[in-house]
Amino acid sequence: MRLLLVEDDSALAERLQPILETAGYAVDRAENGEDALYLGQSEDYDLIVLDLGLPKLSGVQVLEGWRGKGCTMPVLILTARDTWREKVLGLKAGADDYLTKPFHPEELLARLGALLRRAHGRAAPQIAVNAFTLDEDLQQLVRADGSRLELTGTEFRLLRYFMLNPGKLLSKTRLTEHVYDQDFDRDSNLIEVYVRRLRDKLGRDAIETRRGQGYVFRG
Amino acid sequence: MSSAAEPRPGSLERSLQWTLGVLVLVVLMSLTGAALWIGRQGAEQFVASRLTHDAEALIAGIAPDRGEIDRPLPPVYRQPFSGHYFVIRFDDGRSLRSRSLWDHPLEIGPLIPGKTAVELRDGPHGQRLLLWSAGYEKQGLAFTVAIAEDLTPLLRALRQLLWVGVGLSIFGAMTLLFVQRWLLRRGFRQIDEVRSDIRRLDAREIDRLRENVPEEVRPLVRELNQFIDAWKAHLARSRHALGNLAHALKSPLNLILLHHPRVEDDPVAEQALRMRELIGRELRRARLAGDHSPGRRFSPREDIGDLVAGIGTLYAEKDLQISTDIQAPERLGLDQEDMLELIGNLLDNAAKWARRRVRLSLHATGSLRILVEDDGPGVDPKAAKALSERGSRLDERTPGHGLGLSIVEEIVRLHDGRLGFGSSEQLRGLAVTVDLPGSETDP
Repeated sequence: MRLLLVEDDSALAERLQPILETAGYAVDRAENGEDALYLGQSEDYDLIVLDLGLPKLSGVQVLEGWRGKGCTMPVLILTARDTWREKVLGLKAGADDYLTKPFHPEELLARLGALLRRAHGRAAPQIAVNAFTLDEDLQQLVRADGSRLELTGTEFRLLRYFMLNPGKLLSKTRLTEHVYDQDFDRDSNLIEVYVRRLRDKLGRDAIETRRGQGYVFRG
Repeated sequence: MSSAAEPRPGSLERSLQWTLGVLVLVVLMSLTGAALWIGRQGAEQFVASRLTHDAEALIAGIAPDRGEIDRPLPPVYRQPFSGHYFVIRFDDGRSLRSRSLWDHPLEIGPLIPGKTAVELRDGPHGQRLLLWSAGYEKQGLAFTVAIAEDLTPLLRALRQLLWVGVGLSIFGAMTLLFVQRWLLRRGFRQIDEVRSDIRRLDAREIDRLRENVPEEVRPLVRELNQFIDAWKAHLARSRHALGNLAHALKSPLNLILLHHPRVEDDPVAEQALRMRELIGRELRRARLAGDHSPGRRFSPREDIGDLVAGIGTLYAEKDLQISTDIQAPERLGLDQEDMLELIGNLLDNAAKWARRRVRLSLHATGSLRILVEDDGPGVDPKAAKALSERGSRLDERTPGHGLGLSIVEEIVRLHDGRLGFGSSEQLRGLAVTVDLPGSETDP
């Protein structure tokens, strides 16, 4: 899951980034409104965490810019401004959730998880496809018989993206983008390695390969 | 009199009335006295000079050797008690008296020839006589002539003049006092405007006193305005400092929370969360106590529409049905920010507890009534009653959650309204009622 963290307080962003990464997000950071506007439009993010008080362009302007260009990714506003007038302004501009600082990391992660599921049309608190269920807190795969399988960070991120988009053709580039952050080398064939590992854990038929096109998750 | 000497701080008007009243009375009385004195002096001199002339005519007619007057005298000297009398006393003991004296003895002392005297005497029948006498010598015989005239009619006229004067003085004084009182009241009415300005200032309808007041009061109003400005600046500085401090605390607090991700059994995280709530509450309180004069007005339909949409987004996974029933004009004379905060927190609280449904009704007919219901667990009637009675314990309802309602309570109190809790008849959950007194429609 690729996540854009737009936050001008670098101390907070520094600390938040590893927490988000541990939770399985590939995190890019923007520290001002202009960069955020550009990145949000040009990159395919699954989630955006947006501060409102930004240099150059305000968070609301950035958000309106994205929505104006037809970007529909879920956006969570993370701000110290906590009046209802400001909340209404942010939500009207197109935000999907609103969290006020100071926040607890678990609160943020729970909200992000809910946003992600919602964006993929799942209201259920857990991601499940056919016989497989993903325990996001423990980053484990739960099989139909209740047995659990440990997943590494990258495996978890890749599987989550697969399970959020079941039956869809996902290109290697797209998978790379959503599993790794911006600075990752997109040409590497690491995705193939991780797909193989997932097949070892889930079974051969769980992930179908379309030669030259990409993968489809079957579950 | 003493109250004129030391003006009571109690009433400017009374002390001014006393001072002016006494002063006017003294001046007018003195003028009357002076007029009387001058009038009487003039009258006496006039009478005395006439008497002198009469005396000269009399003396011309005297034949001292015979002790007679050989000329006819004016009839007033023959008519008894006519008020015009004379006595002539010869040195050899003889004397001549006018017939008008009748039996009234008018004794006079001898005067050396060439000497004159004027005196006041009691005459017959209560008359007051002005007696002019002089010593003469004619044909070797010395005699004294005294001639008198009754002053009573003159004195009566003067007394009348005195009463008219006193009357006019009192009337003049009263008129002056009345006019002064009217002027004072008119002046004080303009001070009343200052007072009503101060009341409006207190109600935050205006932020300064108007300075188009009488010149005498203007310095006071200016001083007050300067004081108000200084006070506002001071308040703004403290509020600003408080806001800055609170906002500045948010970042380190956030970092503490990020370093202590587990709330259970971690007192640091627990206290950090507590601090977060305290900061939030104080910031809101500071904002509520802030400047309300230029605030935007509340538009029930539009603003509630935005709030409902916002709450719907925030609780998207609950798939809430929020229905509204708004009967109100386009705009209400209430601060938009306050009402957003009030209704936003009520809706947020309802959405948190609701299973599926939330209802909001707002009726603005004279006073404003807001009812927010949900189909959540609600509170039992006893607890609802307790909540309504002592809203201050709202924070204890659920930790970390009651905050919203304590802000509701503060806004309601700020607007002199009432907050009530009960059970929703239709939705079976909590019903919160807010009544705010008359809020005029914005023109």
